[in-house]
Amino acid sequence: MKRAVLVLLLCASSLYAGDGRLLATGGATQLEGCAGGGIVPWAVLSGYATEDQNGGTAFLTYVATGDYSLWSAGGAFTFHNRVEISAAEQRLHLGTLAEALNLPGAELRQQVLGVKVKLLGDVVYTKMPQVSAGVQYKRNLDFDIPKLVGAKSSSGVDVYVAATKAFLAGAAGRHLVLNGTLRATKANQTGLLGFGDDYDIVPEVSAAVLLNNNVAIGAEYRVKPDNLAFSKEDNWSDFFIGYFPNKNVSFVIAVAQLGTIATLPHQSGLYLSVQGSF
Amino acid sequence: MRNAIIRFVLFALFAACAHQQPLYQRLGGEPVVTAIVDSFIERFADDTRVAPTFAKTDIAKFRRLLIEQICNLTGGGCTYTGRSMPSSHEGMKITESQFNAIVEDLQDAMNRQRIPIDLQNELIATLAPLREGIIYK
Repeated sequence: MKRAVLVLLLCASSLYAGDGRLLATGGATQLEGCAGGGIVPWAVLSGYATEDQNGGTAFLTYVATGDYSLWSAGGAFTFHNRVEISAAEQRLHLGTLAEALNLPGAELRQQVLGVKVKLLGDVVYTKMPQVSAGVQYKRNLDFDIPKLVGAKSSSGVDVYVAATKAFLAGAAGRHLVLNGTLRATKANQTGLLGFGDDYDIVPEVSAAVLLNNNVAIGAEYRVKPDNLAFSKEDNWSDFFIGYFPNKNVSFVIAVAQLGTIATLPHQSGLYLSVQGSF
Repeated sequence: MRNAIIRFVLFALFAACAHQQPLYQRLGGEPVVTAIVDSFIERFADDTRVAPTFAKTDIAKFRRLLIEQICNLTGGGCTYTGRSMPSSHEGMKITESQFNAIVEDLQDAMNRQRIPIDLQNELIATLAPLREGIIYK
């Protein structure tokens, strides 16, 4: 999967691009594979295609907290700046926990298939925010451990609505981007620890400022359910810097605070992401 | 990067307190607006994404009216004597992509004229509402 994404990234830079939208308006790729911030889905659709174009992205993201490391890789494709389909695979290396459980090399994998539809507005040009709705079908590929700690199901569907708006010159002459997302989910730790029986509805928010046409800084906060008895699950947050040198490639460096994950507290660390657009 | 953030926060506080002159004056008035428009026309005349659409445009007239319109919209006190946006773009069928290409050409022109990013953004924000009257006419 990782290799496939790298190949896609390389191809992306040489292919004709659906490049009609303004730089950075495709956002970054969110951990679960759709266009967004780092941890929150936004209403923007992946890539730079306008309504008379098609285009997409491929991405590779790495998060390391010391005790855990997570790879996420995948891609998304947007039709006519209206419908985005996405696919991602996540691999959580259990590191410290694997040693404690005497399961060296243990990992939890999950696949996410997403569809997002733009319902209303345009993130840059309309008074109202751009509003999109999406679903993420998630399938846990290593359900033994999640099952052991109380997860009910190895798959689940998240449903979300997101509203994103750029306020041009909105913060001391810099463009300000605000996003609010409401997600219904049964997932434990996004699904890496499986799924429960009942939906929780959780808010997620993001704010970013474009320091210039190529660099954005911002923060995100994602409320998470807390349904497993064996360990607390905390809300997530991050502070990020996004660099968009051109419409072919972008980079995100962030510091993510992920709280307690599967009994290990204070998980925070570096988040690195690269995205190719075509 | 930390310096950039501190500078940004200080600037935000300053901007919030300062009494603002109209954007036209802050850009540098007529000579700077004229220089931006000249750079912009030069840039998009070479831009294959949009140049063909303007093949029949009287560039001298377009230049004069654009300078006038920017002056008018940025508080420079000029009267815009041109036609409305929908009427002047009638039949040109400017797409969303082409409109964004023109925005990029304007950003390039402003970079070339070394316009600070906050003023660039304010000008973009001032002109953005014209889009409705320009695309798909």
